Amino acid sequence: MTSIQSSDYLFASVGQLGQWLRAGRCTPGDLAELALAALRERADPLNAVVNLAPNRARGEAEAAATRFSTGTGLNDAILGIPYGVKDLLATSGGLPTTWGAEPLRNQVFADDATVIKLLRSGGAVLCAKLAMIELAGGGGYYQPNASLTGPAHNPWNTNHWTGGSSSGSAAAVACGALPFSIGSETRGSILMPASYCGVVGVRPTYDLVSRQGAMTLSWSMDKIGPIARSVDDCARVLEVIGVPDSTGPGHRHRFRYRPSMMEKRKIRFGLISAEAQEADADIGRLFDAVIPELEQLGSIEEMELPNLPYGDVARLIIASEASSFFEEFIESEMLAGLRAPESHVIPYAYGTILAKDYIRALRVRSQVLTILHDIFSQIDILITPTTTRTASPIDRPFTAAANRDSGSDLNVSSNLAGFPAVTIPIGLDSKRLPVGLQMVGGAFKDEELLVAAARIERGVGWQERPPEPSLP
Amino acid sequence: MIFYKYSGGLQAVGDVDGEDDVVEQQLHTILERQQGRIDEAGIHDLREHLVAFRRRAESVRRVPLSLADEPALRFDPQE
Repeated sequence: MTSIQSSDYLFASVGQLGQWLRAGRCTPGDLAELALAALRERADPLNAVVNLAPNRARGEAEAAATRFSTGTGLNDAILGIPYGVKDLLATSGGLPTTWGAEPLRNQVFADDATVIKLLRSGGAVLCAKLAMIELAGGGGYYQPNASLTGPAHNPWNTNHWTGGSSSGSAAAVACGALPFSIGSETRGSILMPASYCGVVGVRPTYDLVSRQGAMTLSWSMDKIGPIARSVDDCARVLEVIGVPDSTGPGHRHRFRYRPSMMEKRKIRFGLISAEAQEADADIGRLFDAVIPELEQLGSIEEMELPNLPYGDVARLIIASEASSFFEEFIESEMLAGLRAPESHVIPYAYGTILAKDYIRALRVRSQVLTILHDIFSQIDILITPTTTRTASPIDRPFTAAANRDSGSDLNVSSNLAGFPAVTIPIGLDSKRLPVGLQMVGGAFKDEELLVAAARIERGVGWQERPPEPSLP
Repeated sequence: MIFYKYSGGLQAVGDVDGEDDVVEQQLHTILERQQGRIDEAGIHDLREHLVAFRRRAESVRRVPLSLADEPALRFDPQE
């Protein structure tokens, strides 16, 4: 058997690795060892790794090898494929789940999160728990250095940040150490780091993916989703984890990805022009260059979102729910153990939100839901640049210009409504930092959204461009 | 509507009637409860965030609601 080398493994897609496994060019054990080495050599220096899981990886690789030898489950696209998860998904077997926070460095759980169980059933091989902003930003933070593992360096330029809170999930994929990872988003935490790191990030419809076993930031806004280097790879992963959840109150929807059934369908795009105009000139130029690709796929209509305080509504909901989930943490000495000094006090402010204001925010969210349902009765996909700036410097606090406090109206409103979104890379700015295109679809229209994103991705041709990360 | 800005720390922009008294009362309650665990810099930061959350609530209260706008206590994006 001719085993593949590190140079073959790095940046190989889920599909490519699967082909090599099926052709006998490598074993799941080979891939696990290559992934563990790449995580140590490439991802760990970026502060993207919390804990490696070598024993678990080798055990799961052996189980996958048995399936190959017995011919069971060979149609599983992720059989034998290495991956990592944001460290807010619970893992059993003594492997800690830190939620990115120093005081919880040794926190362990008795059971795996449902997402991890599903990936194991599909034959994937868990190699690492990946870095994140402490408590997924639940402490509030002004700077990249708000994580147990320190600030996460962007593989494209290590003087810049990865974005957060799924920092390690984006960086480990972007540096080639893993073909895919799992992140979570409450308000921008998959899309922003995926865009900053030049990879694809998918935020599924709320509750399409089980949240069982995941740390809660906001019960009503948290979503779990994949990060990979192509839309197809994200879709392969989402097919495994986007299934009805028998363990919780989740939906009965099952995600399927059938590109051939929708390839020819005309797509009605809605462009949020105000947000496109707020972007830096480089981002605007790359965004404009994508428009002809979109026109080939259908029609484009310029649109505006109604003027509502989306950011304030989201903040009230998230802070209210976080203050309940983290009540014990906030009232204990643990709060002072968070890395970012500002996080030692901001959570106390959450407790001053009145119940009537939380309820009012929920009522306004119902309006947002109605607004987006109306918009999506007229169009299929809303688009904007994913962020208005590329990755910020790693050694400085966030600035108002980075729009850290509010996020884009499309990102926040669609997070409030629980609608799905994807970001795909569309080029590099003049500082050679990645720029992303954000696409938002209707509720449970995840398949249509990803099929369209894959078509645009092919048109943009990013996959044909070799990544040029600057590693430390 | 933006009522505050960030530049090395949250900076309040503008004022709301009666806000200072309420915020000072909230601050006093928190400090008493935390019994010296918050230092001077933290008190300054906390005050700014209390103001910020008050203003977020004010901003949301200004959105007109109808009786039909019910809170989704079990959130479902399809509804």
